[in-house]
Amino acid sequence: MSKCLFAVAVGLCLSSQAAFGQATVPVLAGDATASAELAKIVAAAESKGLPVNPILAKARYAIVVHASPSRIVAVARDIAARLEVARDALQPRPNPIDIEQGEIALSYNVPRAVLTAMRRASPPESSLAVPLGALSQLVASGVSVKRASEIVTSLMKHGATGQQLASFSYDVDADVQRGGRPDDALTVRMRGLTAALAPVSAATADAFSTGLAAPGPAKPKKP
Amino acid sequence: MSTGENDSMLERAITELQRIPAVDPLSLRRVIEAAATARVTPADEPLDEAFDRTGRRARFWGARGVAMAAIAVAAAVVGFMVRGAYQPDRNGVVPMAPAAAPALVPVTNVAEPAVIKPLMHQFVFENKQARRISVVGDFNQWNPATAPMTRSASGALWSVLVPVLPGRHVYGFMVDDSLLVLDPGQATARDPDLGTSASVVMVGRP
Repeated sequence: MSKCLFAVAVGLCLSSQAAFGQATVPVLAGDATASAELAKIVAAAESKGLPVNPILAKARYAIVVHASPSRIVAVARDIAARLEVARDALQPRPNPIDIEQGEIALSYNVPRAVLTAMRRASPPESSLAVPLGALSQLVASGVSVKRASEIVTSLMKHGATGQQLASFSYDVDADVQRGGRPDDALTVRMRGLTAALAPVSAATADAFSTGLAAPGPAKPKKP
Repeated sequence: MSTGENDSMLERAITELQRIPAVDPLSLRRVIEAAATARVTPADEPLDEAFDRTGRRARFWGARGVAMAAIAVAAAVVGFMVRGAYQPDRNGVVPMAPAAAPALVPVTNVAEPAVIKPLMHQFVFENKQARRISVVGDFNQWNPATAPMTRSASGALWSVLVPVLPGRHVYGFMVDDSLLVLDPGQATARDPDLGTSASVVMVGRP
């Protein structure tokens, strides 16, 4: 009996911690109504099983950059809605990190269908955090959503690692910052990454495209 | 007494015995109503009376029920105190309303977060004049207290290692607790919600 009571006590202790583990909502100075509204949005998202870190982080960032309380509440509401869309788009069992990265992609107007397509293009248990992050960054750099989606999905299918995808999006952004056109930068960097993923075939293809290699000798015609 | 006489007497006796005496219908109805009133089914039985009838069971739930309730309340209080949910935050945050307890809702379509672990990422920033610099970003909810940077021996470079989950993150450097500065060596992006700019870090598993 005492063991049972001890187990109940430990369980309740842990569940109370879990229940209130992320329960810190920023105070929106001078606006109690907005603060309460923000807390309500966070609580509603949490009750739906959504990760609330993106809402809390954006609220705190908004405070740092002196956004108005009403603006912060509106943004929090938008994020909560996008988190739900991302969660649904990344079924069957998305992890919270993927949902957060999916929400970021949605904030850059990546369609929900792209998230679902990326989920289907990868093993069910694998994380999409980095591919989704790379997609968001490419779009943020100015690459069109359609092109960025196609490229990232293609790279995933060809086995690009998270580190490669991260570097790829960095490189494209750096090229754009130096004055390159986003889609051009994407094509150039794609060629480099493709070469790394499939050294022989890509190098050969590149050599042909630049005229460094000639086609092999023609086969003799059969009599 | 002849056999014929015996038979006729026997028949008369049988006839008399088979005759049912008349029953008063009023009396009969009273008996039926009294029986119906006295009958008690288990569902009709008051709970208190049921426990009184089984005194041992009533004592069990009385004593242990109170003990379990007390332990439950104590455990919940300990949980709050350990987590610090009721402690006022120095950084301008308030605890969320307990009414919003989320763990009561079963989450069936979100995988366990423990699958993905954060990776250590080094942030480096150059500034000779600053007295204090922290890295702030969505990975630490823009809280300068969580990632203060360390000044190098030369006094110009500041650095810190921060655990960051894989994916795309935005960040900046908080200089002297008052000025948010972007990382000059990294990509920047415009926040789609607020229209402001932030530095971007992509953390990917090799």
